[in-house]
Amino acid sequence: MTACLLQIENLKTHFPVRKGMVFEREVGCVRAVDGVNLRVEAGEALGLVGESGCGKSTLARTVVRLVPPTEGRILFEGRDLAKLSYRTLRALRPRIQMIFQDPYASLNPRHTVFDTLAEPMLTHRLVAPDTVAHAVGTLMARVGLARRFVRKYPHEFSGGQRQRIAIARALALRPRLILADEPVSALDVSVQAQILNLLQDLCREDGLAMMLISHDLSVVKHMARRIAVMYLGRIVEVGPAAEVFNAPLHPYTRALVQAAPLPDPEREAARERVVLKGDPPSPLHPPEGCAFHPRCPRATASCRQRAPALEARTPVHHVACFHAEATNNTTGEWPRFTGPADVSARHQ
Amino acid sequence: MALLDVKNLRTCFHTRAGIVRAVDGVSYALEGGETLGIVGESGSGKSVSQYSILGLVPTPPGKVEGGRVLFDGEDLLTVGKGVLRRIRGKRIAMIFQDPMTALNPYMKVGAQVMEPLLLHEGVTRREARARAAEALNAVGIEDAETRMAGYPHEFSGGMRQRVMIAMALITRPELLIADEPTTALDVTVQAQILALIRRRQQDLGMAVVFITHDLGVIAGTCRRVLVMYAGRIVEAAPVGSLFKTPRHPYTRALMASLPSVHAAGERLHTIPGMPPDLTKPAMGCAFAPRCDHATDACRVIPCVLREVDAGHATACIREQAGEL
Repeated sequence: MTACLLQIENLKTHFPVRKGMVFEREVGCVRAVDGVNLRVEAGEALGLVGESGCGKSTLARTVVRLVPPTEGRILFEGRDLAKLSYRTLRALRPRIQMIFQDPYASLNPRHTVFDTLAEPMLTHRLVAPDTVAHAVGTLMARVGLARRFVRKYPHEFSGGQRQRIAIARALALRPRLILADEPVSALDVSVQAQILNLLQDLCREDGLAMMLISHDLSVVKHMARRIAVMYLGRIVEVGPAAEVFNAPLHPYTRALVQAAPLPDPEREAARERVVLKGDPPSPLHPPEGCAFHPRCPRATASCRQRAPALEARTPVHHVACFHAEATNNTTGEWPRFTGPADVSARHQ
Repeated sequence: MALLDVKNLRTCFHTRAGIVRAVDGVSYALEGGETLGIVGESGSGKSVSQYSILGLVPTPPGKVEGGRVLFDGEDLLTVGKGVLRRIRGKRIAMIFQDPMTALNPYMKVGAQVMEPLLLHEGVTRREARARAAEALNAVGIEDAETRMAGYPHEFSGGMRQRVMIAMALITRPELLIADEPTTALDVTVQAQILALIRRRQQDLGMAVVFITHDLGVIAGTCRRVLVMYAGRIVEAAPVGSLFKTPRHPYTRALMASLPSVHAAGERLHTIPGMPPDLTKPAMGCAFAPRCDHATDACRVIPCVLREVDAGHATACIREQAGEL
């Protein structure tokens, strides 16, 4: 508990919605992040899952202050990022780096690989100008890019290679924490595997902490030791990865696990399907009480009136639901899929 | 007779970088009522192979250069435009990945759902309206009468995909081509849409071609699967046998790279190298440069899909010879 690197306390990020051209007035607000408590320990990989619009990206952007927080505290190594002046923040910025989803949009098309990687190191004076070329070369080697690509532009690379450049850029400043926002969702399966392996190696070698944001449960389960599930601006469940997947406490987590397609026809045919009704609600008009109640199979009158708080079921497993009970994953979906029996053996 | 019989289909794109052989000799057949999955990574030709069937390949730069596409005995590549127009949207319908760009943003949803009926069946507007409402109800859109007056932007992603499905199925097509219909959707909504397609297929008895890159979606929806790589079919098999005993190194490598087949934290299998440049067709197997089992013969002997088990065909010559 002493090694807590990032501690988010009651964080809220609201976006005002304005109407009118001349007499602009506020007509409401989108509560993208609405009271999140979350901690990331040093060297730990935390997974954050949720559907589009649940606020998972806004949460990451708020942590690095790309978006100003409305309320709450972001304690990073004991200092509250939410309150720091930009000058002080600037000194801390190298320590938290972000990797974005779209490697086409997140790299400057007019910067060569060299420019992209050298700029942050020079700006933050991490290396002297005469050694920067060497530093860039080392970085490229670490992420598996050949050094001869150093003068090439982003458009000359494939999606997977671009994501490697983005990862190298994040590593350039020797961060302690990486926020990876859907780093593999734009990539093909075989390339996705390469990038996930790379991220895992880097975190292990350097003892980097990572917050991995994804909508893909199989990715998060593979990479993270702890998992947080987000729904409409709030964390609804957080706990050790295996527990969250095999014995989900929150009905939404359960629905997510059941909805994820499995690459196994027999299990797919046999599995229990409880298909959730409806779409995720709009964060502009969140439902009263528990935000999940209109889609929840267990909702009762109290769910419609009060929002449940995130409470500890065990010291490590927390859930925000009045009716949370351990529902063992009887269909046995997530324990390791075994067939085709020889797949992994053949490729060792 | 098969409902759809595709023989040696070839589609090329003439670009400045050279001639891209997007679909390079693809043959398969589909029976009425069957569900066929086509799986492959981006650029494997899975979508172009279907667009070619319906004459939807932008020409130029694209061109269907050869082959036959027999739909119910008629060759769709040679029939006149008029005939093709009567088949498309009536007997063969298609749904696309992104329902935001596939629906017309200027047209009310009701008008779009009614359009196939007005064009193909010549019914009155009143009847078309009633049937459109019925079709929207059938895909789970409540209060269809009111929703029909709305525009696509007023619908959520999942709801738009439902509208697309209603529109595609309103003429009771014999064949539905679904091009990555759930890729843009959230997991819980994806489960709804997949269940909906399965249910409507049972109701209407149509055949479905399901294009996807997601092996999980294939496992839950399809009966037979084609695996495509670099514009060719490398493996064709019933879904059970494909997942249990994949008979092509590419299929095996693809399955081994999924996080869900690994224990948490275990190193994922990766496929070395990159997909081939389709402007430079390989003489032998296109996968050979990335394959762990490739021999010199693989690089020179042209690959032909051959049956190795009942209904299970592979293009790998070493699998065919029983060497792997």
